[in-house]
Amino acid sequence: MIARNVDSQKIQDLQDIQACLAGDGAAYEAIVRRHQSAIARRMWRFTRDRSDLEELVHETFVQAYMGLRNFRGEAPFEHWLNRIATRVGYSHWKVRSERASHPTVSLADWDGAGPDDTQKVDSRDAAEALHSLLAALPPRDRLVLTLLYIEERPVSEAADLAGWTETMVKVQAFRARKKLKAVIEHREKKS
Amino acid sequence: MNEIEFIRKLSAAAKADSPPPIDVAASVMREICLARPQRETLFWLLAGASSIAAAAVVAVMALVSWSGATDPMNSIFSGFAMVMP
Repeated sequence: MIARNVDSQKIQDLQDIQACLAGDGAAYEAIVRRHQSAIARRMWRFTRDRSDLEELVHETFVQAYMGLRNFRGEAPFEHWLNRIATRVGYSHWKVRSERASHPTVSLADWDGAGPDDTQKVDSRDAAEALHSLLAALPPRDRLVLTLLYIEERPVSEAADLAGWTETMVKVQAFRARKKLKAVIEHREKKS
Repeated sequence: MNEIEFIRKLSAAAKADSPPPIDVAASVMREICLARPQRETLFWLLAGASSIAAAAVVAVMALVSWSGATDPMNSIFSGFAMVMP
């Protein structure tokens, strides 16, 4: 049933893209409405600010429209859109060097927590803590850690989304882990 | 706990965290509609500018050839050229 839904969405996407390229604006609006919540969920990793989130999702769809002729239809439209979204989010990190704010949940609490304890803490607090922790790292490190360890993507997929080579992803991940370790240790000492 | 386990644990706890509901369809369509005429305008501007540039080149070449034909010095030298051989 789910597979059938996915297939029908793929077909619908392709039909709407063809209609859009033929000049039907309403078709693109349908595409935006169909994918915007998934893209918003993705962009929520890149910002915790509502207005920034709207801006990033908006920018993703505008860039997708501008490059729609380059979509070859070999992979699902969603994958192509995700690649654009990742690059828009990464640019956002690069442009806006967010200052790391102190997490509302202390990292020491997290370090001592068992697997079941994670359920007890508010998921929003956990997301804030994760975001502020990664915000202490340079954008490249944030991106590679997000793709590999938070979204649990394989190296090949991470490379595709980031527009890097697989070797670069591995090297970047190694460096990012070292920096992350240093940040966690530093924060633990402070708290 | 190592650093990766640590962020995985945070990420697992943050799983239920979802973004606020947003709707960008209208703003995207607005920007696209604005961008489309701009691209067309740019195309026509470029086409117009290149036509004007081509016309100017043709005019300059015509002027040069006309001034060459009516230049008295040119006729003197062309006279020499006829005598010289």
